[in-house]
Amino acid sequence: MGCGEEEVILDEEVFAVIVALAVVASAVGIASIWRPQEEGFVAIGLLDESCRIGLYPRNAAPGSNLTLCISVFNYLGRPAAYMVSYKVALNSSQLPTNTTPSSMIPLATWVGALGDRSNRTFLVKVSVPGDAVVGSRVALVFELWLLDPRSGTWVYSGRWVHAWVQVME
Amino acid sequence: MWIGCVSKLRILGTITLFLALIALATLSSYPVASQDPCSPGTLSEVVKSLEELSSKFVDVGEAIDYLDQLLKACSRGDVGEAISIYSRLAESLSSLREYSERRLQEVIAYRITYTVFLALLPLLTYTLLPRVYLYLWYLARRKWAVVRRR
Repeated sequence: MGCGEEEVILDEEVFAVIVALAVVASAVGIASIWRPQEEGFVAIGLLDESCRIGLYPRNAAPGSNLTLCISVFNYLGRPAAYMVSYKVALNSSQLPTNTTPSSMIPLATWVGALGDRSNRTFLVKVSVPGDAVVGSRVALVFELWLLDPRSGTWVYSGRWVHAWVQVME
Repeated sequence: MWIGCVSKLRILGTITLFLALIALATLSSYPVASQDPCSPGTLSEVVKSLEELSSKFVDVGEAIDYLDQLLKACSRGDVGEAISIYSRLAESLSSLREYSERRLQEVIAYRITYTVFLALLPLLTYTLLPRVYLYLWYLARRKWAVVRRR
């Protein structure tokens, strides 16, 4: 460095980039603090008797008991009281939809409460109806219902799972 | 005249006693009817309270566990157990409600403080970074000797 040359300790361009990064970090940080709550959802999952995805029963005798595992997830952004309702559908038209539950009568229910961003997995023992026709296929349906604190009633969440089984001797 | 007065007092006393009995019966039956722990109304109130507390950033984990146990007891038809759990749940909700306002204020204060800090971050970077950098630059060279150039 000769006389008259000025040594720049902190390069101006580098400094500008650092300040720009600070501005962006500030904006992102403030936005993340005050961001509105995301749209919540609930979910239900059906697992096998080992509580894993995989070996679902394919065949069942009328009146026999099957062990399955149910997972319930709450991401509503608030605590929720849930009810899992077990029904047996004899054909596709008796399956629930996103808006309407199955028209069949519940054969069993399981209830519980979950905090926000939490889930629960539990074993259930369900029976295949004794009057199921041998050779036919039936769907084991599990619907997720939520307690609506405004109306004081259980409301169908629009979420369900089902597994088809062949009725055999 | 005396006899008439006494009989009137007796009638008045009987009516008063009757009204008092009705009042007592009403008072004793009202809490049981209104606090049936398994009624949809009670369960809804509990869920509503939990939602409200949760919206105020209160940790409602313990109360949710009680509600879970309560629902299961109701599902089994075990009313005695349900009443016992409900009393614990009500106690838990009551203590959480007392704490909820303070918790909300704490969270809002924390958020405002954090927002102010983040808003000042670019300004702090602009003003302090060159000074800090210079200080460190000189600190790193403090043992350097100055030599006159020829």
